[in-house]
Amino acid sequence: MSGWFRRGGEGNRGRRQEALSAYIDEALSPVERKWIEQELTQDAALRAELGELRRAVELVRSLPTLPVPRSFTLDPAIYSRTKPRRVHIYPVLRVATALTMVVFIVLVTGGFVLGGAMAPASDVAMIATEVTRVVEKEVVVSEADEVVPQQYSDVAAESVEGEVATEAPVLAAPAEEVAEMEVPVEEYAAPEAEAVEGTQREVPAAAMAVENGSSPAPTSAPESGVGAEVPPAPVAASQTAEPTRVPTGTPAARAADELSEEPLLETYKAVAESPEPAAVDEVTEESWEVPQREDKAWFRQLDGWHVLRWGAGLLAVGLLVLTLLARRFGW
Amino acid sequence: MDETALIHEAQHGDLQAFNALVLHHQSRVYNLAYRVMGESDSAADMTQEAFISAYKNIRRFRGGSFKAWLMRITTNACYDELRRRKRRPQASLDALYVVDEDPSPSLHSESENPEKSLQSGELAAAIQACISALPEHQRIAAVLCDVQGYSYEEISSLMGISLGTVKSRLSRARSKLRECLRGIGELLPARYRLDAE
Repeated sequence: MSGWFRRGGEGNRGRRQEALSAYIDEALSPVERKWIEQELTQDAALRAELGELRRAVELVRSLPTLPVPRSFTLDPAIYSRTKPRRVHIYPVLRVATALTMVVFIVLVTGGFVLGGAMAPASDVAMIATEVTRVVEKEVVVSEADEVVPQQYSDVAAESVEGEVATEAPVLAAPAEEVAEMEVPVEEYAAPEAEAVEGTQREVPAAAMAVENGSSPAPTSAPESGVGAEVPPAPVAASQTAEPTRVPTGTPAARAADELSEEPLLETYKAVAESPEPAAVDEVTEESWEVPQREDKAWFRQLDGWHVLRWGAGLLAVGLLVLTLLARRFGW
Repeated sequence: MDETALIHEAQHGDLQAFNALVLHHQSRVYNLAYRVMGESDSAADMTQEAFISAYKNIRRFRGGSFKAWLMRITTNACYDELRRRKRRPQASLDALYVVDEDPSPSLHSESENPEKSLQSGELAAAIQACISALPEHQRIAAVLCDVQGYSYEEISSLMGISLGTVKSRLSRARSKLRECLRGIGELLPARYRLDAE
């Protein structure tokens, strides 16, 4: 520190005067004080300068305190707050602006962070709907294909009786088994037909729908009632239930034949005439394309997410302007 | 007088409470304004302006020294006025070297004769003239320290400057005052007379 004072030239002179001034006010550090006192003992001119400074300061400090020329109290007629104290809205606006800004920033950054997950809901819904429609088309077409070939196979099975080698006798389900299958044999007495060993065919669900009914269990042997009337199987609610596999030649199989025989042609005709199968060929990759959104007005293309962000941003700007005005005019 | 209670009431719009504070602090505020501005009319204007400003901003006072807060308002008001006058100099009918007609108490005791009182009055005016001749930065620092008696730290807070800057401005102000007071040596009492270099 003493080196700072020892530098020569005008700079040093200014620093010494500064030290003398602070020395008068006892505002020097112990190191600085010790140094200046040492300088004073060695430099007479410095001592004289200190003396003059002290006298000048004392003269200024001796100036008297002046009496006030008048009272400076405020006039109540001018400054009295007779109006009811206004509620200052500036603090409220300030807080509201800050909160709105935070919400806006969260909405904006949330959209960037989540990215595709926040895709417009309308687009996602449209894509889902279109996919579902295409899938349903394929399901319907595939079901139609199954019905037609199956019915074809039933007819073919009857027409080739005897052509198929058989090794075992007719597989007649014992009464108990029939009973388990809950097929009323007396109602579904099958016409005479040689059973095809080892083959099983799918019995349409309608034939097995009697399970759901209240039909009594069969009590007699399967072979009975040749030519008996075979009432149509009650159409149960489970039309779409999975077909049940039963051995060919069983009463259930015969019942299925009976059931499928009548509507076979009609069904075939319906399927043949239906444009649905033809539509299958048209199921190409193009049908998977996302349909373009219709040209709508710009405000109709906005979804909730965009509206929310825009709203928050506009609200934040509006509140900011109000806050600045409240601060300016002291609201 | 409970200053804290008066401040609290004034913050809630009680003008009477604020006027009580005015009566308590107006002498100090006026003297500061007078020593900075150099003449009574300007000092009165600055004093009134300072109190009006304090009343309007009383709600912003968050505690601490109310006197220091008032002094800061007064200092800023005087400083702004001096800067405004510097930009737009005005010819004053009261010249800088005309002795102010305000009846100032003499530097010496009341037992002295009128001749000495007159001399004391002239001396005070001469000293004031030397103070008024200082640049505004140095003038305010010298008045706050040597007239009002504030410490370096308080001056630093009132003027919003560093301690080093306070020391520098005071040193230069006192050097210039010393030079100015040499010119009025014949007015100075014997013990105050400054020896010429």
